[in-house]
Amino acid sequence: MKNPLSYFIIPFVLIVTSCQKFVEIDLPKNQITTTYVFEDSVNTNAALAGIYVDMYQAFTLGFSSGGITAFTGLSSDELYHTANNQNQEFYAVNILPTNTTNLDLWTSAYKFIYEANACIEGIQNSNTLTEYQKNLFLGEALTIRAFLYFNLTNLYGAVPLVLTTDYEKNRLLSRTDENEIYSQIIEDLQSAKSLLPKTTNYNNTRAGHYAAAALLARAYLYTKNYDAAKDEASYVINSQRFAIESDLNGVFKAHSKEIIWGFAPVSPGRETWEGYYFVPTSTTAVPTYVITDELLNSFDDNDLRKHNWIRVNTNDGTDYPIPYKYKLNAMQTSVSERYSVLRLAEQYLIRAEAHAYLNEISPAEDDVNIIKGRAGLLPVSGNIQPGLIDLIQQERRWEMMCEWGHRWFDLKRTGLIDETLTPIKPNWRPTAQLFPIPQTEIDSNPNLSQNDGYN
Amino acid sequence: MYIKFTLSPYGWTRALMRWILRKETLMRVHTTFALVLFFIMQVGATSLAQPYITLKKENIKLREVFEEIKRQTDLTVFYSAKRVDDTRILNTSFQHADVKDVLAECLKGQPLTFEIKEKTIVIRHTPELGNNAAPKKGNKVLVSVYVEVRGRVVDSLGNPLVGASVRVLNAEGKRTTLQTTTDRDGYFLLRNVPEDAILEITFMGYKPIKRATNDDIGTIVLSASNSGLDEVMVIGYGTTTQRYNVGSVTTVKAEDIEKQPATNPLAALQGRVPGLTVTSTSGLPGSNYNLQIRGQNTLNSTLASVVPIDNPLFIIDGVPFSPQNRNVNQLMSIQSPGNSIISNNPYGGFSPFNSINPSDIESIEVLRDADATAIYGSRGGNGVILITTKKGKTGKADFQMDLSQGMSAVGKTMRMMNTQEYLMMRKEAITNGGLEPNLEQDSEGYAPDILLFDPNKETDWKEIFLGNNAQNTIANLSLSGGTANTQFRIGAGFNRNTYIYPGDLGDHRTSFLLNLNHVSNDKRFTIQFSSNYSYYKNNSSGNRNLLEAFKLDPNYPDLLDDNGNLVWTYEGIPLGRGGTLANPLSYLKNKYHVQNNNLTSNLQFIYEIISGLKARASFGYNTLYTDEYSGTPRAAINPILNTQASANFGTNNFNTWIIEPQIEYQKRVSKHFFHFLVGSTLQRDLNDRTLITGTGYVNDNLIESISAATTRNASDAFNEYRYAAIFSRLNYRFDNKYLVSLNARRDGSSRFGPGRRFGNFGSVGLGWLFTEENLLKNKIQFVSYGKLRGSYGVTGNDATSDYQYLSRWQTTLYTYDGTLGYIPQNLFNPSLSWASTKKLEVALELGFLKDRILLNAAYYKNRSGDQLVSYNLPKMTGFFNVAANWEATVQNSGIEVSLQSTNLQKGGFTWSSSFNLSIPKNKLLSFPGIESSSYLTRYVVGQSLNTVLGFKYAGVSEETGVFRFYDAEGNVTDSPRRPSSGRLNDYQNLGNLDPKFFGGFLNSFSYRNFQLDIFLEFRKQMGVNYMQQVYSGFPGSQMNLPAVLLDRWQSPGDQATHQKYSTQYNDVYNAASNFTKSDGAYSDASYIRFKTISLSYAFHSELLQRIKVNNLSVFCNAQNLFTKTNYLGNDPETQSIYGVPTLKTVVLGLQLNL
Repeated sequence: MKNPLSYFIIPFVLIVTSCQKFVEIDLPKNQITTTYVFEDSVNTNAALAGIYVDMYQAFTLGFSSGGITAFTGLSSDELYHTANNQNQEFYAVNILPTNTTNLDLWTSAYKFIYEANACIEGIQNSNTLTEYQKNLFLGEALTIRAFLYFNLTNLYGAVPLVLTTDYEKNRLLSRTDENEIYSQIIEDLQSAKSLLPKTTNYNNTRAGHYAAAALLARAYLYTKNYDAAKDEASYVINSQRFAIESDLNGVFKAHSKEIIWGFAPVSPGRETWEGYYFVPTSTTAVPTYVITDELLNSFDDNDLRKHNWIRVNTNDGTDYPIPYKYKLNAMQTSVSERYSVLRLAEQYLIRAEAHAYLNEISPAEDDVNIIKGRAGLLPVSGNIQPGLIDLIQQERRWEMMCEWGHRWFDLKRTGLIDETLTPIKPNWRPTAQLFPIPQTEIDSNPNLSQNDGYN
Repeated sequence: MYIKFTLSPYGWTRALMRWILRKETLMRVHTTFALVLFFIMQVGATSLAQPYITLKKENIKLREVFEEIKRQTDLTVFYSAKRVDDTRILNTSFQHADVKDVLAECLKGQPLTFEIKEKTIVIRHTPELGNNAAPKKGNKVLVSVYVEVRGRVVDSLGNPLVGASVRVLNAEGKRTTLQTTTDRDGYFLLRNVPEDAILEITFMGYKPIKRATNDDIGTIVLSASNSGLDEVMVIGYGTTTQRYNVGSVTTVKAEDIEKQPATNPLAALQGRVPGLTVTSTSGLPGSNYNLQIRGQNTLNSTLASVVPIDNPLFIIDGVPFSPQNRNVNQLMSIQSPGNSIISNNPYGGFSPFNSINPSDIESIEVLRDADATAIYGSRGGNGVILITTKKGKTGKADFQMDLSQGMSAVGKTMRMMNTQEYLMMRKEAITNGGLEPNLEQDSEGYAPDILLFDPNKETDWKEIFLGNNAQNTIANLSLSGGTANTQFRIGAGFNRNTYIYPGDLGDHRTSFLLNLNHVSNDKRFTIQFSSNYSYYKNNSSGNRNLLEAFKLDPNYPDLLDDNGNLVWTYEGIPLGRGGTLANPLSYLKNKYHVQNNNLTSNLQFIYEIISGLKARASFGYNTLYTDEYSGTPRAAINPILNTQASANFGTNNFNTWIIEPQIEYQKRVSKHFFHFLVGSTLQRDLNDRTLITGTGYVNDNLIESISAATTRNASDAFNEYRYAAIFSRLNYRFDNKYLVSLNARRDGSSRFGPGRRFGNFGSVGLGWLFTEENLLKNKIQFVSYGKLRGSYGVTGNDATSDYQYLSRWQTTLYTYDGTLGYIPQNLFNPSLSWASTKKLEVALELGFLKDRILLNAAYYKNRSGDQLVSYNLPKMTGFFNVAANWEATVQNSGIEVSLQSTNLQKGGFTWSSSFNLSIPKNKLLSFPGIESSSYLTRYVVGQSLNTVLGFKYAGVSEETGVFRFYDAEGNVTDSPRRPSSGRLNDYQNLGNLDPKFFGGFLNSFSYRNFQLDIFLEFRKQMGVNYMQQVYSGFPGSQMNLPAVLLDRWQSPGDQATHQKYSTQYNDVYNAASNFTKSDGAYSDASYIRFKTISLSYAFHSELLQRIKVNNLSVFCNAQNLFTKTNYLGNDPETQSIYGVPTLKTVVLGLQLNL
């Protein structure tokens, strides 16, 4: 305490000399800035892995974690719901613009799109990645983005087409016509297909060359470009990299040869989200999501899919059939199921339908018979075009049941939705085939309009 | 009793030890306190040793003792030979004994006293004291020592009080003949004062004060008696008084805080301060409070119509409170139910202020205008709240203990339907849809409650889940005191509250506070230290559905079976399928707990370089460490869901340190008074959080351990904030009439990018005490005080998240196929910078009838431009918002009036009142480009930020029985159009949620030993009523409803308040959804609340003297006892039927001072 003044002088000197420097801070220990993300392939790979983690770590049924299956399943004639909550709005085809499940679908889709866009920009702007690495990552990011837009536009119709991370521009985007969205999807997939090498070290958990091609085939089919759809599906089928699993119970296994692109488990304890939400551990429990009589009764009794992909729970004398493509409610010691995004059976059905529309009856029947054969059904032959098209739609209903909204999307694109749903949904209106744009989204973007029928 | 300290440190330590030993039968805690005190005082002791002598002799005369002292020491002894009894023979046996003790022993029993003054001992003859004092103390020896007492008497601003009278009271508190008055500089000197005497200092217009005798009693500050005008008021980096302050500051004092049985200091501010709204988020213990000073300054990032943000800056003893008013919890619980319309409580959570014991608080100052807040620069834009803890005072050691015990209960809530009404409602709802009740789970007619459950069973679930009484226990102990050099206060507090829910839910807090102040002998060097530690723990439920448990069907089956196990099925039917909750008792097994450890420390060195020039360095540290757990054991899981047992563990650690060196110069030159302050601030805030989730527990007993989980996932987060500034303030006063106050500050904040970090802020304040003008002085008798003041200035706002100017990626929680991912964290904005608020205030302060009535009226107008907001974005941008400076101007203006008066003062009866009223007005002044912004459907230029846009409600259709609305053209419609494509369509302005006016009214009555305080809080406002929440649900489905819903449409022609019941997702459902967005869901939520009623009785001092107690009082305090409101719902403050309303609390207690 010799010179008490030193107590005061030291801090003053400290401040005057260091003010400017003092307010500079480091980033949090667990964060890095964009520059460091795309400086090498390991970090860029992590950014892409981040999209997958985000897409599949949901806490509930989400956009890419079973939500599309469940909610379009309720809206169409596949599923009903035994818990009385907001999700009943989907079953009642009376979704309010304020429905938060619907908002979650929208919000998460655009969050993933942002992540894909951030990757695309980061990769393109990187000066340190090699050309090969750039192509590899860019192709994967484009495929993911195309996949997200495909589902978005099928749920909502015209949606804002966000292709950058620039929020100043994006916040005021209006809706882009469905055809333009498809053009973008096709363009992205074409570039992805050319950027992605046919052979990569990835297993089927990442979107590779053939995932881009398979999705492209689907996009061509949905846009009625049957020649291209046929060619693209053939390209995947003929690659010989994938094969139809002979056992129906092997289709959704981790080592399934049929899966072109699938998601690996992310959240602990969850093998697949659909298994977790659809399959009660007890066979006597009342499940939350139940297969409708319409779907169950549409199956031929000899159809192995009815027995292998549907399980019946019985409670108090009442039967509750449930989707049983994924059989595991919780994570096993080692991962044994794979959440399929794209699989070969669909490619056969795409090609069959394309053939049929091109009036190439016999090749179409051949493709359908591959699917029917695996299901234990007799082959078909000698069809005429309209009947064949109907038959292929029926086959799609069974093969792709409760899988990524295929039923709902097929009913819409074939125009069969009104005649199919009017008899079974008292509230049915033709405008219900599009989900409402979430109200808060419209509230925060003056250029956004609502779908018809939702005020 | 008192402990008295003599001159010698050895003397007083001995006296202290004597005291300790004498009171050994007292509680141990006394001893502990005393020992702590002993060590503290030892540290502070200065060396002023007395000489020692050794004297072992038998048959010695007193005169010889004096000679021996002279011989052995260098002291001289003056005595009157006449008065000293020379015949008296003593036997002495002193070995190296203190002269003082020797004299005391030798003079024992004689009418003699001695005084040691420097090198001289004076022996005096004192017949009256000598005869009176000794016998009174019984067999105990009283040492009478005479001292000379010097001191100075000043007012709270340090101005000398000339002619104040200083009287000497004897040890029994009786006046003696000794007295004097202060000289023209305020000094006084009293000779021959018995050492154990007490000084009483009185001065006209000031509160009398009593002090223990001391040779240099130092400066005694008298505070004005009639009014608070001259009481010390804490402001930023200093103190002032209301008389000479030009800023807008309101003080809430300890006495007002203590009367409220609240465990959160923020609760004690409700209604007390003009311009400050304090809103409780829930009645559950530990819940947070929303605070806002003078309205909302910034645009809101959320679109939900909820109470706004913009918290003031909180500073405790000079240290910014690290968590500020943020929730400390990360996990969900019934306190933090999340942001849904059902819970209507987006800001709910645990208040960090649970860690502060209100009884440790000396005062809370609320700073509002530019003059008061500009010194806080970029942080003061939303106002500042200063919390000052209690300090020790020179003089007697005061041991205080207060204990209270009480109960809380939920007040009046809406009656729910009974079984008969409920079943009728359910049948009607199903029949309305053309259905029959059935047991098919996919059917909208699914009704186990009608078909299966016992129709004669009736359970009042509200009584079970909300009807319990919560227990409150408060215990506080403190010891304070000190010498002229060192003052201390040690406090300890304990607090415990239980829940209104069944089960062992509850919270408790243990806190310790130490304050020390030491001044060197030459009075130039001062050290102040304060340290406050507290431990807080809350146990509750981690499942927010518990809040809605009382909605169970009244005929719902028993929740427990005969063995006490949870019931999940009933007659083969799984429970909880139709929209109702399966088994709410399971939520009590979803245990949640949060623990906070809080430490706030402040160390200040003050050195007076030359007279008036002081250097000061302040070092502060605050940490709040939060530890959370929330678990879902297997026992709480509905077997039907078959989910795994899981547990979450979170830590949330807030840290702040601050260094503030300052130089202060104060000078008075004739009529000019200057006070100049320059200082700087370095502040660093750190916040780090971890969250670990464990799943797959196989044994419920191990669930509170992370190592027992089969799968573990961890995440963490870090935030750093740094802040540096230089500030200065000049106060100038001329002739105590004209006041000038200038503030300037340059600030740097780490929240902004390079080149945008620094900002300048400042203010000008002027005041005119016009009653001091000769023209007016003494001319208008009844106006005793009058001041006109005004201020204008710029304060800032850097209240945004950290790192928003950088584009950041963070690692993912989980891996994807073995690869850890990165996820983008934010939309970044490199051009982010300060927001600034321009504040203007004009005020008139008047005192009437010798300041018995004080009126303070202020008008303010604040404009916040270049808004720093979390700009709301459509989700298609990938994020919800982006930190941005937005070119919108928000204006908050208003009038604040406060009135204090002593209404009656007669014959031991006093009635005084204080009243405050605020009339705020919030307005979005301009918003360029609002048409192309995401706020189009949220804000209207020219209207309040809390404007509600929605449908105009047109009542229930007599024909169809569903809600109808007016469209924009005024026609009634069933399907109003929501906003779309930038058009509001049928949305209209429904008014705003701002309080129209609010305030408080306190009446204090005291009669003899009784004191009664009645404090009313009132607020006029519009709010969300119960219907918004009821219709966000599905009235008609399997859950109970408030009985008021019986007034519903049944058949064509009915005029009803409520639309028909339904279980279907059809037009009735859609109308309900539209209704929640209409003005039907909003109504008057004004209230007048008996916030505090406090009655206390202090026992008579004569009685207390006999039991050696200084003060003993018993009290009964009640909080929220009555509420007068027309609100449609449970509680107009929390505005939620599924939240817990503000509780009523009554406590009984006693306060004891030794």
